[in-house]
Amino acid sequence: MKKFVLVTALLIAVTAIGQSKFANKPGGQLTLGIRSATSLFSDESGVGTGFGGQFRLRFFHLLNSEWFADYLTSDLYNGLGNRTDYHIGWSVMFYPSFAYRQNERLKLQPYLLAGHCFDYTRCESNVLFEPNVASRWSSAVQAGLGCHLPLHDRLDLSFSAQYMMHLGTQINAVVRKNAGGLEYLYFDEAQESGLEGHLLLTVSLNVRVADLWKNKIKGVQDKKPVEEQQ
Amino acid sequence: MKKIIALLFFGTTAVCVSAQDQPSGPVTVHTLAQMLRTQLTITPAWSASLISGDNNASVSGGRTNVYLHGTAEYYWDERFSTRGDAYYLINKSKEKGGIKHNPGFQVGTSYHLIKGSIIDPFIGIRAGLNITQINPMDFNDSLTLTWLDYNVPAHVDPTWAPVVGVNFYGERIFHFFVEGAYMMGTYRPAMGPQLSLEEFRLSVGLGWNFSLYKPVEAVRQKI
Repeated sequence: MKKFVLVTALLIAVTAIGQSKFANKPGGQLTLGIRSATSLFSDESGVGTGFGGQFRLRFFHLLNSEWFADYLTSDLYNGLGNRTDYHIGWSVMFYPSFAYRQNERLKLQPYLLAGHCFDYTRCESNVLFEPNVASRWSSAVQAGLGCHLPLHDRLDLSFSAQYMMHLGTQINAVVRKNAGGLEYLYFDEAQESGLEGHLLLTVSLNVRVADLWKNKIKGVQDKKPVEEQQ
Repeated sequence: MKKIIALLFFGTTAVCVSAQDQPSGPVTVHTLAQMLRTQLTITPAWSASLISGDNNASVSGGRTNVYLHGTAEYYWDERFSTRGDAYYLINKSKEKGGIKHNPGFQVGTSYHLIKGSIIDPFIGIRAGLNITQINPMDFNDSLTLTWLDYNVPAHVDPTWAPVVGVNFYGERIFHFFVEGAYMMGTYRPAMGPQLSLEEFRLSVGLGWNFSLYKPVEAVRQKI
């Protein structure tokens, strides 16, 4: 009997400690943000820079989701062409419990992220007399690391680095010269599907705008039982 | 009789306490927190390539561009604020290939170095988009063909900029500000030359600030 009481007391104590750590659960938080992106290590193209937006919907206190759209532009073959990428996708963000901080101001909150993305790529030769355009759709899986830096209760700056692996038809760019020696880009017709990867670095500024289901749960809890109302 | 005295005593006390809660006249706050700052000014800009080392020719190469610059900034607390900025080019170039359009917007955040002071130095970072177009220009194919006055298309390009500046808050709703933004980006039209958007923009002027401090109804910003 003593053992039973001891174990029960221990369980209650552990539960109480756990509750106090996550007493104010952030599940249901909706966050809006803007992001600046840099794309590195793409085949044949230079460093891409981009701008986009995102929203985050936090499912549980250690699990968040990020839904984003990016617009990136980059250089092809030192100014012979341009590449434009449109990303739309989502990532799930996992906060490791051992490093969890509940929105502590100016304390980094690390996370792992993984997700899917759809990408529309358009490559253009920008030499007026030799116009060439190629485009493709691709889908990608991505995974990486990130961290939030809370600046205020409702404002955070976030940094992430993720590797995106795109599956789609390949665009093969070739540098050619016309009769006058003018260099231009020529795009071969897409023959087969292939993989293309790149590293995407993002910096985002996010504002928490709502606690979606926290209020609903509170509302349910606030309702008095039917017997009491009568 | 005792009951009446006790009632009067408690009644008077309640009225006094109630009166303490009500602000008499406008209230001043000694903080920048929950303040909205706005401004509209004319901003000169000069081309540069100090930070990115972008070797492309610049859209503002050799001339001073002039922009209409508007800002709206909300102070979450005395340290951090979120701001949105919009620019519109006023002095279009008349030359072939010169800058024709370059409106843009940026959103970002600022860190304010001093708390509770009428002098408010800050550093920040912003990111956004520009819609850029240059005037029609001539192209040749290095043989015999020349395309005269080809209308180079407009293009939307991402930009970002570090910002540094100082605000001086006067009484109530006005402030004076000086800030510099180093714009970075590249204009990549579908057809035509790539040009650097890199330029240093200097904004100086008078701004308006309004307190959105919530706990009391009538508040006037002291700083």
